[in-house]
Amino acid sequence: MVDDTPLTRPGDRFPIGLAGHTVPISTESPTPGRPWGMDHAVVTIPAPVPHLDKHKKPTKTFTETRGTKGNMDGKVVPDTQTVTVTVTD
Amino acid sequence: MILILASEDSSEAQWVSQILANRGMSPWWFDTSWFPSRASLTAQLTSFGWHGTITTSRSVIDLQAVSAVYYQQSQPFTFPVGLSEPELRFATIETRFGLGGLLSSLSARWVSHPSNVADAEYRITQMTAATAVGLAVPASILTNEVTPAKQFIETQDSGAVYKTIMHKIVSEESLVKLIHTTRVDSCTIDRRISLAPHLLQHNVDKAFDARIIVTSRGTCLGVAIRTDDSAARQDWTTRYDRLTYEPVKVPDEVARKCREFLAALHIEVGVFDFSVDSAGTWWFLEVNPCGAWAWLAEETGLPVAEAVADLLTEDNTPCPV
Repeated sequence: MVDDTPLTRPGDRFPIGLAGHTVPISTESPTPGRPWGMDHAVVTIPAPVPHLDKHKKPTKTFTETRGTKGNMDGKVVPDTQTVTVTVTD
Repeated sequence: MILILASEDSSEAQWVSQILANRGMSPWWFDTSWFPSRASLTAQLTSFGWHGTITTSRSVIDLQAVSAVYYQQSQPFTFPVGLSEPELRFATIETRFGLGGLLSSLSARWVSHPSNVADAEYRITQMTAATAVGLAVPASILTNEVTPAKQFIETQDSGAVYKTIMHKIVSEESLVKLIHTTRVDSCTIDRRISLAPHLLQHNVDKAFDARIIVTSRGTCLGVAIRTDDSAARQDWTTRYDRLTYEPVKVPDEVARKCREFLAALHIEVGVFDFSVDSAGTWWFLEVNPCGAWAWLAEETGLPVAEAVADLLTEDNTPCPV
């Protein structure tokens, strides 16, 4: 779930994670009017750091399934959505 | 007792926990994603604050006994599949303000407090604070107007780069994409820049990059990050497999200013990124109060976990700046 208050007070942001670090996986395609900065988004698979033991993930991405609702034949029904959570440096 | 408030698989938190164990302490661990599926809470308000417990599969955390908290990358709560959107929203917000309020009100030494961490995540605020303490910050412009953006890029003698302010991750077409620091040309700027503020910065002609970990108590541990890969030279996070690491002495003046920066933003630990040019100037790029350092400590042997453990176990006398 993403904050919908544009300028959330700092105390309100705890503890669901940082905005922009948790994004839903989307099937939508880029539009011609997308924000200019998004032109620089690239698909990146973080390369493993060689010769490391347990501390080997500077960046990690994983997915999880959460409850939500969907639409089936015009009826709202329980569904799930896959969410990717990525923690960067 | 010390509470590790972190993702279960946080390498940094695991390492700090191990150091504390080596010192004869057994810290409690709580991952916010365990709630409510794998954790429960009960607390009562007293004249001394909230007394109660958080029960997990690992332990029963006595809130009153928590003397220090290591806070590192909390994760979203986990609710049962099948809740409706309004139900999920209700549960999330009530948990956020209930559990979040309970934890935030702990009378403990925080490394660092979530509210202060959240404040410090504002890159624009970071740049203000860095400038105020005297750190060198590359020339920068924040704009959603075409003409100032073009003019800025065209007046940078070694070029300009685009950096996101916060939203580095994009998902579309069922793919996860990242926005790295990218060299930009003024001819690519168009009116779509008007849809959001965009941060453009002077492209530092760097000799190497450095990540340094600074604590409010004065520890300053630096790692030089070098590469011969052209993309990684622009943004080393693009090619971890092409990097080399070695400890580097951070100039005393830079270390002092970083401590002043931490004090200004009320955070106890900062993971700073710098670019160092051939003249020896350390250019501030950004700081992450919960940044990754475990793999660097493993590569270089620097005692970062020990420094964090020191913060958690020392008394609460004011930190020198």
